[in-house]
Amino acid sequence: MSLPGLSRKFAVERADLAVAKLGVVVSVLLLGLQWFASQPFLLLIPLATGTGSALYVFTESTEGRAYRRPTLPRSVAGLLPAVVGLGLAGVVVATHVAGTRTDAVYLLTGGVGVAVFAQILFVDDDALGVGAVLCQILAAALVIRFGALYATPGYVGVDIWTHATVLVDGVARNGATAALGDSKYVMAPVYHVVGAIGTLVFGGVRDGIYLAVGLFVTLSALFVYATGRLVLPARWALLATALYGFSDQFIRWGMHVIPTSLGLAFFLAAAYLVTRLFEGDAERWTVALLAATSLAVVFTHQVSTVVLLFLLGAAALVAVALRAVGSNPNRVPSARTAAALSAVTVTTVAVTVVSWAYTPFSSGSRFLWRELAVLRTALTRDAGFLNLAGGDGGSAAAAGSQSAFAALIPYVELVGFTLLLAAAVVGGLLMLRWRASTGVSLTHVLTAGTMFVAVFGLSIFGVRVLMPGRWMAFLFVPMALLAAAGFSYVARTRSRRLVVAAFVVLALAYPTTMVVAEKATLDSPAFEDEHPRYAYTEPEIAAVGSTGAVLSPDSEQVVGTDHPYRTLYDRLGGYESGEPVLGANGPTATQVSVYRDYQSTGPISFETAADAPAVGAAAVSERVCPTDWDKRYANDAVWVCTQSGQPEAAS
Amino acid sequence: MIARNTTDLALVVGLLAGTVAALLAPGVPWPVEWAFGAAFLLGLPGYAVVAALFPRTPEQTPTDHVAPPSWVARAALSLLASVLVVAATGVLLGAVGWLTLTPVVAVVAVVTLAAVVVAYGRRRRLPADRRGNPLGALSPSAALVGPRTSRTQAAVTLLAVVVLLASLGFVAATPSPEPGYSEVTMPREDANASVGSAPQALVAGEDNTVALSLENHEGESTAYTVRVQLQRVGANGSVLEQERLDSFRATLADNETARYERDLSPSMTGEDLRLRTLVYEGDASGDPDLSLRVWVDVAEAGSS
Repeated sequence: MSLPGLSRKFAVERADLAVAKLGVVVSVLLLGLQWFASQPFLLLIPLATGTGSALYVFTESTEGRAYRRPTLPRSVAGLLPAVVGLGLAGVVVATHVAGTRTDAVYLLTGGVGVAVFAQILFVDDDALGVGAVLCQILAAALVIRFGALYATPGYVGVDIWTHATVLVDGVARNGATAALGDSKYVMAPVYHVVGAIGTLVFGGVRDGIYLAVGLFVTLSALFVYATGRLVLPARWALLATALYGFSDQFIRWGMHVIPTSLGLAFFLAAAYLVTRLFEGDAERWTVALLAATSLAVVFTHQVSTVVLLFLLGAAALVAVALRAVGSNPNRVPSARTAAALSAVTVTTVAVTVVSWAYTPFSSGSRFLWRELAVLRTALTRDAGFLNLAGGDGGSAAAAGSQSAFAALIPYVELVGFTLLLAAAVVGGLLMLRWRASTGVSLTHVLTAGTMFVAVFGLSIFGVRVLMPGRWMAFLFVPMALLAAAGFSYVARTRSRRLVVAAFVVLALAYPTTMVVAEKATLDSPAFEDEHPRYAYTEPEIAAVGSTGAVLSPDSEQVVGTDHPYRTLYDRLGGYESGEPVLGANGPTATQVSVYRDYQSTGPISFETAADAPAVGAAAVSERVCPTDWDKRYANDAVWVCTQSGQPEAAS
Repeated sequence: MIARNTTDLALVVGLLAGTVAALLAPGVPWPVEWAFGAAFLLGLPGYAVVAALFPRTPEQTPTDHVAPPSWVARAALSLLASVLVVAATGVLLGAVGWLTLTPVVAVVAVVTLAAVVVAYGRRRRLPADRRGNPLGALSPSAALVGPRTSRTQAAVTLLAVVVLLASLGFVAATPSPEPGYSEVTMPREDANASVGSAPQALVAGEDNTVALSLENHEGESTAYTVRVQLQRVGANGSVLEQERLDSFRATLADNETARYERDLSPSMTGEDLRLRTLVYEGDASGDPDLSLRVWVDVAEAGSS
């Protein structure tokens, strides 16, 4: 393209184009951050936003014109539902036979995803079975999550061991929420109460949580379709549902079923109700259900509440602002809508503040004041540009190999996210242009934008007090909707090649990379040499209980073992635990040490003392459980060792 | 007599009665309990509430400002309303200490029935063809295949669904192939005592009682051979001297735990001796399947 041509492209004519052009420039500048810090997100985010913006600028949209999207032959398309059904059957059987999710299971799961996306993207309008595809998305979501959950002994994840074995079990046994004691959940008991009722109905805590909460969380993907359908044609609403249903973050909270999961499901409902509120002129039932759902979030989970307030705040702000400055009656929400959104938002904020002011936290403090103090500290002391260390907790010090392939893995896992973000940028720009549904469009764009800044923008400055890792699944909701709109835009472009390329890349790369990403495979990492397993075998779980014969949980002595296994000793066993520092002759700070085979075979690393050699995989057992220590417990996978009375004993 | 286009509400009442019986009666098979339980917690109360809220079909009429929620939206709202009803019930009962099965079932059933009554009343006021009964509006085939699917393709899809359901049945009916394991523990006399304070002391020529615990989780009855050795170990880890103190066989049923108190009478004396417990599944040959070690001091009888 000639220079004058480029100049014409970058001339400011419309708001959407102006933002897109700015997006290209800012993205190119942000690529420079690569010089200061090495993080996959620092490359992939500018790449995605830049690509999305450039695509929007340089694509000649033919909206409203007749076009012919590439489609599959009917003979092939009609068999894809059967491929999905057989693929899911294969996933079920292969997971059961192997006892865990294996590479073959991930391959089959990815194949199922490709077949679902192919139907959405490459089937004629008159042959697209909307109900059938929606059922396939839900069936795949259920099989992916529940296949993993029921193949895994115990639970998947870290926090759920406390929620299930202590809190939900306590409520179910005592028949009272008083069992939540002084935990912060005494003012947010919804998850534990629903889990306890599930326990009573299904006869066990695990089944109770999985079937009462886990099913609801998984099936709440229906709200993405319902929301999408209010603003998009059926095909693109289906695409939004598939994008969300196969996303690693949604899979994550369908397997690690904790209050965050329930808060997320309520958030999906709130997103639908907010959209409906704009579209339906604040019908009474919508307002009442939105209020009830918002209060349910407040009494379920604190982080989810903050995220929900972003959505409600954005919606109320958009509605009020459009009422104040808008002139086109088709674009201005009604006074009822603005009033209802404002009322729900103010009520939710008020209830949140009062609830948090009475929520107990550690050492007698209250949640509200403690969080404000933490936030102040984070902003005034911890914040710093590109202060990227740390995270939202829970990550293991994994010993990833340094091979070129290992270095590529984080990028492979983020392919789906990158596609989602690029498409969401296109969709967001498109929404800025649309004349209809302006309140809804702006709300989703503003929600996605502010949440994106909260997750990634604040993280760049080292502010992670809002636990950005927990926000990702919530952020993916507006992103999936915007991305579906973005693909609907791409589908209307003149370039058939571009459409084919974009759709093929999406159909092949999105589901296959999302289902093998770290957060989607906590139970059995697809990249097992890079990410630790956040689930345990039967012997590993049994060892925690049997350790009581060697060391009482009341003894206050620290049990040293790897992360995340030590969290099981904390949460299930009631021990004080820590990660051991390994000296040349064994652990230096702990007198009780637990070795498991996984420390030798998995990506587990230990801190070593300054004068001690590094730990090789072959020597892990002798460094964690030295031969001059007593070995008082053993099963097929775990040893429990204690410092013996004679530390100078022969090795 | 049931009014036309209210069969879904009759079905809710029937399922509710079945659920109450399945959950409160003893000895109900778990698949039945799970099916009714899931419907009870995630379907019936919300469905009834949503039916009461929206008595009409989703189609927009000329008098409507906006269309009522679609069937899919109603399905999603049913899930939401169910969880909200269950949560509210649980929070209220939990606050007064009555969060047990019978009160929960009673309250949720009453709420569901009340909503069904409201839904029935509101629907009856509408013309029969405007009543929002999804059973009369939805086609089961639409959940399986697209509108232009051939009979062959539909048959293949149906077959795939049958295979999927059969695979689920297979998984439910067959136990997980999780490999079994065994556990052996040499408990400390006082698990509350601090670790590493003093070595365990034995006396030569006398019976020293040592506790040992063995657990079988192999998935079947398993025979074990247990050997206890006392070893003098050199600086490089080599065994300089060894004495077998005990050997016994035990057969444990699956999930059985056995605790043994064995009297050991060593002849070897000295400090920093290694007391090894070797556990073999079956006969004692080759490397042991499990092993323990405790460093001990063995004093001569009569010495202080």
